[in-house]
Amino acid sequence: MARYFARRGYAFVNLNVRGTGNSQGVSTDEYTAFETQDGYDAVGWLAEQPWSNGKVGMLGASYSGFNTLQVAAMGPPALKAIAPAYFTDRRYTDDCHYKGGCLRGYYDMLTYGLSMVAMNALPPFRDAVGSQWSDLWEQRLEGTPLLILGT
Amino acid sequence: MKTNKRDISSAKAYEYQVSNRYRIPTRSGIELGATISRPTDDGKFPVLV
Repeated sequence: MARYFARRGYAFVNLNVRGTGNSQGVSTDEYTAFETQDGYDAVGWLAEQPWSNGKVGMLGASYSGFNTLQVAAMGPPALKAIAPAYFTDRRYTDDCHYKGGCLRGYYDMLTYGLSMVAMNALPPFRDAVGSQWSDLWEQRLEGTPLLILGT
Repeated sequence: MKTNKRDISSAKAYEYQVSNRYRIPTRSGIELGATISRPTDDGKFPVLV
């Protein structure tokens, strides 16, 4: 997708949620207020870059689809369009974790809960973050429960 | 109704560059990592996140 849009005149951004990928911080839950605030700040920063025309769009599926709605709800001035897919704003009725208000135990606490948390704790790419690689990863590991890391 | 559609599939094909070393500051003080693919041409472009 990045190549498709870059070749057609867009600056395409794969943004790592705090505590994941090459980002600082620790991932403590999905869709935290900090996470949404980070998205708002990222939109503003991207709009101000010398290669940006000041107009930012967000797109995504599932988790990132939720993010587009959550950031858009905060009204960042530079955000002009969103394209979410496989999303909901009714997390207790239509989400993968809850259906009709009932927690999907097997999926939420086992399949998704254990795998996502463990993957979030993976190290950043050394060539992307340089000398802070080990500090970032150590912070991430210290902030993640040992039970989860052991899976 | 007249629409203003741009067929991006037939638009100019830009050469582009990719970097995974972008650090985006946030008000909380942490930096977010980003990989950005963007045209190498001079100029200003819309951004997709």
